[in-house]
Amino acid sequence: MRWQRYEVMSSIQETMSFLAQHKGKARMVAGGTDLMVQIRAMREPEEQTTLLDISRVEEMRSIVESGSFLLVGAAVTMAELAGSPLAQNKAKALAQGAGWMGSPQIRNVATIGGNVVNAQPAADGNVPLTALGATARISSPEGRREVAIGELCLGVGTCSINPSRELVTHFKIPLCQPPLQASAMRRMSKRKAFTLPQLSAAVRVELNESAEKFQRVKIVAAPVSPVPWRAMRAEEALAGVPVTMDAINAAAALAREDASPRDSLRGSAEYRKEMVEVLVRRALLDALSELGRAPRA
Amino acid sequence: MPKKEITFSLNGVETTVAVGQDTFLLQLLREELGLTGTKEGCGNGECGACTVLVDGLPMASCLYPAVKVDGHSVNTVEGLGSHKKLHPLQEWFLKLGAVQCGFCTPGLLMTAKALLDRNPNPTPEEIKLAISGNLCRCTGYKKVIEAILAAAAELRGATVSGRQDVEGGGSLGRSIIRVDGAPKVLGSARFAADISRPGMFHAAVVASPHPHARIVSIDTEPALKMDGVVAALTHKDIPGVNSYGVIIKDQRFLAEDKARYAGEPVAVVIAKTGELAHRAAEKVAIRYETLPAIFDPREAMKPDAIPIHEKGNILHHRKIRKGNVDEGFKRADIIVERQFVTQSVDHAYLEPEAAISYWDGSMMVVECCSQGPHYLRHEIARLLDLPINRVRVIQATTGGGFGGKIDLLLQHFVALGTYVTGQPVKMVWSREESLRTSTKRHAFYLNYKFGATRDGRLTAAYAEIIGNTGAYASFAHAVLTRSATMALGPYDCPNVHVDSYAVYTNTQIAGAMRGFGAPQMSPCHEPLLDEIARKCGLSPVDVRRLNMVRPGSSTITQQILEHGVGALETLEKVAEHLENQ
Repeated sequence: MRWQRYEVMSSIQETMSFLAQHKGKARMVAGGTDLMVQIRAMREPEEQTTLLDISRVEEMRSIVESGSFLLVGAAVTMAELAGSPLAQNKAKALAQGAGWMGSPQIRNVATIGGNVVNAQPAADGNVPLTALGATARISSPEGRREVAIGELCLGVGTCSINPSRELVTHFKIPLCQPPLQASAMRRMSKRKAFTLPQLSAAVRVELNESAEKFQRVKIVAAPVSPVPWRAMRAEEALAGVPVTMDAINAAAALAREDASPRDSLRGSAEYRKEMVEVLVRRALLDALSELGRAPRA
Repeated sequence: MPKKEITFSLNGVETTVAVGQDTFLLQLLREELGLTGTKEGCGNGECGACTVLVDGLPMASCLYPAVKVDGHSVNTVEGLGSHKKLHPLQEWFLKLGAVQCGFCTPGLLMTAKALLDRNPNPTPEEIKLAISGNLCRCTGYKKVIEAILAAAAELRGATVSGRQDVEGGGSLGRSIIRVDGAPKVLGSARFAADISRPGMFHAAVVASPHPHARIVSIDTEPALKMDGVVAALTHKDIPGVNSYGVIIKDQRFLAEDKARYAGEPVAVVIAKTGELAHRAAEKVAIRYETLPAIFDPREAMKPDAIPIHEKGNILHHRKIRKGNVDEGFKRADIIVERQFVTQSVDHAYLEPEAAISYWDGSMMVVECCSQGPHYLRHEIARLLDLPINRVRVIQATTGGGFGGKIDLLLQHFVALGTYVTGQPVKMVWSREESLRTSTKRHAFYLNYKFGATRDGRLTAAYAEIIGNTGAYASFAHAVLTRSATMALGPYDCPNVHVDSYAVYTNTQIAGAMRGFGAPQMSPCHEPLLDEIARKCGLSPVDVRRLNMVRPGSSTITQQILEHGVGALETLEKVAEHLENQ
């Protein structure tokens, strides 16, 4: 017996009352594409567990524009995100990342909420969400809170959301509005499909009013540290400077200098460090090309 | 835990079942509803063999809780078409040879069905993306993509032209549809894991976690105490001789005194369900005294290395001597010398190993995946001390082998289980168990040295080949002999010196795999020829043209080639193709 009960939730409110009732003995599951693999590997269940499946909660199943934000329900699947014109136009890096995660079979089930809470260092959802400056809306029987994505991940596989006490319901993503804001993601892997990244980089670029200079840039690379890693010096170096190839090259080089990735089966530390520069540069150029801009030589 | 009653549309038919809350959709379909067309290849959502459609979308049913389909629709391969009327996808998979072993086929068909429902006119690129979660080891995907394109065209009402296979009859000069194709596209082909018998028990292996250890004691009591456990078998339960092996019998059916690799079977637990058998297997208490382990065959060859087997670690040494290699190197203007390493490879057939055994009167019957049922029959007779006319091995539809299913893998465990309990016994390995205990391709260390004249003609060749056979011999003698004879590939050289060794280590057993010792040679002789070409100022094609065997050439085993020497012809075709590019 892998778990005792499996309850399919129909609303956030119902989920909250189950959470309150089970007092930490129930845990959330969405697509379950990672959780089920972990549970299947266990021969004996650790303790009495009820799984609360939130993948069919309607309130958490939509992607809508709300003011200057894109509101993405946590139960939206990776396939839905990848195929959403709204996400493609207003949060491109996220749509790209979602489309690279897993296989079609996995993307049809796995959710963006699960991807974030699972807190893998190079999660294809976490990386672009961090670059986009997204926040997570979290509900618990005690109330609601909002936390920046960058602060959710605490370590490899450790997220500050406790799936037995609370539920991430939505992600609030500042819109990328052309002609001044755009995002992009780059990812390299040993195979073209169905594989974890050797390295990925996501950026959000905002130009000043005249579109001559970078206003604000966010640059994330992974796996470079246990959580999605911001290339802070590279970001600062771009703020307020003209959109030139030199500036982009210099920022990408700074990102490489500051990155300290580790060796793993998928790539050596040395190679990954070199590639940080390449992927950051390409992602910045992609974002500019989204805005119909090429940097001055 | 109470079961939940769920109602869902299964292939268009409203279905109500009571299902365990922790049952996965794949289990519900295969074990409770008997729809065995959907396969389990990995149990981790990685291979795509378990793909079914939920509300029209492809999902990995091995990770999908069954209770979740309540009120939704599920489509499996059984609902795609019928013997009387195949779905165009099924038809084109047959006509274009997109079906080989058939294990990935149901999943691929369902994925393709979902694609065509959404996109009636997909491009090859869109097809590739859509099927990127369905692994296939046989076809190389090319024919699958062609079949999906053809089916899409037919469904759109377009005519499909071009080559296609035809139904049986005379096969001479015609490309015919494979005889076992229709059941494979319908999901009705019976792989060993799909076969069940009344009163059947399930078995699981207890394997050594240590690469090298003395077995001090085995206590099966904790497993036997569990409710539903029927038997726990060790080497003591073997009525016959406890040794086997295709060339030499150095392997134990169940380990006795020593375990020589991590994953070596030590005991087998028989229980009422597979899950219970696996849980009970973990309860078998085995005391090990760990021994130093050797993983590198070069280390294992040293005279002072710890012996893994009593006769020492060098299992086999194959020598080939032709001409006088010292003279050959003296005559050489150019000498090139390199060291090479090739890796161990798992066959990764999509179907993990499975077998079921039962008594048919006084006949022990084993139905299993296999590439060599006759060999298995002899080993099982030896295990059970039965005459071979009382052992019958039936090859079930086999989901890929690539050489890995020639060996005895798990067939002996179920046979022993049936022998002891009298009941049918089934064993199905998980992907992890398959990777752990099945054979691999030999990993090689190679030292190569070629001598050539200034104009690029080989004068001498030296090769030392060290093959890691792992803990047991399996096909090592034959594989390393093949390596030795193929050491120069298709090239002609008057003076040759080859030493080929098969060496025991405490790693997984290496066995037969596609090419059988030859593929490890080409990454050695080819780069050396390129190096000679560079030094002589020849093109890569010229250096090969100069050295390739042709009628009248003497091979390294000094066979004079007479007819059917196709190497040069092949080279010229490739050269022509390259020029035209």
